[in-house]
Amino acid sequence: MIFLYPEALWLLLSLPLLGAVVLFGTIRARRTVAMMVGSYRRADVLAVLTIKSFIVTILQTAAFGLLILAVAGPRWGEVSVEDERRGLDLVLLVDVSNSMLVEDVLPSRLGRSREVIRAVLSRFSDTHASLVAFKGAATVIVPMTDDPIALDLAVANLSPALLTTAGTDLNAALQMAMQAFPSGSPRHRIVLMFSDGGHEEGVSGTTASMLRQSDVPVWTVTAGTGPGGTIPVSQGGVMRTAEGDPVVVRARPERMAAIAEYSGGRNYDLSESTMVQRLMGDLEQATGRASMILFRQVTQDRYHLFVLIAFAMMVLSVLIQTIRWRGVI
Amino acid sequence: MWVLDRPVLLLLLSILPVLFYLRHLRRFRGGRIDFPFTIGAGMRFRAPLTPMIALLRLSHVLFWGGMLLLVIAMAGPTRTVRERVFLSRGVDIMIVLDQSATMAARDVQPGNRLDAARTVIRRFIEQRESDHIGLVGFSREAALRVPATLDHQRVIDTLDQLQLMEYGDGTAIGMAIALASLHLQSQGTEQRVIILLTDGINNAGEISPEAAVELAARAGIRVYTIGIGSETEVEIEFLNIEDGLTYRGTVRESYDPQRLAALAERSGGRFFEAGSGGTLEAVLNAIGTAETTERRVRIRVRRDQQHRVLLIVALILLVGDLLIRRLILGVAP
Repeated sequence: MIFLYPEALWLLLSLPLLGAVVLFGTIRARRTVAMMVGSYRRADVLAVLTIKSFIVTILQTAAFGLLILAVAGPRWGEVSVEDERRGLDLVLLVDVSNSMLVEDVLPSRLGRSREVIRAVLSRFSDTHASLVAFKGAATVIVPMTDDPIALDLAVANLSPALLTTAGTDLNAALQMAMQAFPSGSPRHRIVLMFSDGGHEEGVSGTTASMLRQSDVPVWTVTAGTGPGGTIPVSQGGVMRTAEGDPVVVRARPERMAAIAEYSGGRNYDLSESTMVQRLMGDLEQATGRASMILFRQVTQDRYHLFVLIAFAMMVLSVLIQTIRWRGVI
Repeated sequence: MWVLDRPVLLLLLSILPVLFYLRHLRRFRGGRIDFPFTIGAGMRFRAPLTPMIALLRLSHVLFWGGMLLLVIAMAGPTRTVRERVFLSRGVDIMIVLDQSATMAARDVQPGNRLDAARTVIRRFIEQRESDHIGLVGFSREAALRVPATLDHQRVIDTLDQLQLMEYGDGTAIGMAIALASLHLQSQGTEQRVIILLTDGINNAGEISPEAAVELAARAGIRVYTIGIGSETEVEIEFLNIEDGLTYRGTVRESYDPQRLAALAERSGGRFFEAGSGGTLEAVLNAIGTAETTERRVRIRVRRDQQHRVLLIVALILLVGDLLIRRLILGVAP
């Protein structure tokens, strides 16, 4: 079982608090009932009240727990659905921040990304592709097209000078990438993202939610290594902090893996020697080039089962409350 | 359009009135202790509406509202959006638009020749849903602004950003046609078209219009040529982006109709004269009618499930009811 919105599971921590509220209410009710009921019925009434409170507390707390699980979006089981899409609309989302100039992947993170992009475009020549560059902001450099000359020129011109906004805004980048798919296309849609994961904040909850709801997988390619490297500058030497220390930028593979996971995509390491072959093979598989009839696995949403049980528990708790026991309460 | 994934679960709504009766209306219901407050025949004691009673009623509203939303959420409310998917590729069209200074002449309305062309091209693009459309701008030099794409909004946005004399002063028709045909040659479609809109004669660039059209014709690309404007002396006003100065005056410059007609004829296209905004629109409509393909369209339904919001609201309402009744009022279960 997987949860589409696992962050909602934190709400389960509030269940003991709800249980305490119900317990507090029960103690108050017992005290009030003990004062109001005559002594000849008090023992019976309090006994029924205790049993009812116990059962209702369990039922309501469990119902709230199930509702929280339902809000978290439980999914399990897969069904095969025939996929009528053929071909590929590919958004190439490329980080052009200064950290992509680090040479821990040869010739550089950006240079190697360019090589991989060219290899993909050359292998999948019937693919429609769009090029989106991002730093602190994102922009569509080439809209979705199958014009290889326009794409090749744009890929060759990828550099930090393309955008002036400093930083690495992964959220703006992913949102722009999703908007780069034109409507009316019968092809598969994939975002192929090249980045070192950025050095500021990662992906926000809103973007994670958008990725989960979207049917477009983001395949991430982590550019860079754990130890990282220094950023070369055009005047020679390396970029330094105000104190004169060289700036060392490490890749954030965990962020890239998380983006791929949110969207149901895959994650690759740019520094791996077999990465290009794996990427090509996976693209062929995903877009149906490897087979005549393509089926895709769709995970089933099961939230309604949790809501159904929770609803039944709430109904039962109402019945327990409203049916008079032993003729007393 | 809204649909329900599991409409049969709405039958659970029928349980709610029964529960309501059992909880609030049945005379000998549990969970309460009766005290005889009868004063006289037919007269009964009624509790005044104190803040506590109001809170109790509010908690009832929250509870039943929450239960109602649970049932609706279970039924799987889904918003569906129908999207047209084009299974066949339409025509690939590269619009080649003159941005020379004379396009500021005010003989074609609205605005000037460039504005009128922009307006008409925008409408033309909006009608060509399944066609890949690109944009080349030119004056002394030519530049690909947008490659042929289905992302028509981006073409329109770029069209709106075009400025006069962006590529210098001059009219490089040959360069523009050559560039457009270069970017159309690699497209995977049979029907490829260049629509050239110009108001002048070729006076710049290393490639002659004839050579460029020859190149296009060999690749099977038809070139439609449209001459914009009149031959009379017309008022002109434009901002030169090189020196930032606004120039005003009159101009008498026109295209060469014989040459444009020959260019179009060589590639299997047609030549049109557009002396006014209305004529220009008619011309583009005529080209649109001539360049049509069989369209195979499938409707794809995109489904956005909406149950999560209902579940969250239901959860808030039910917890609200619990807190009011147990924490504030101390109601026995």
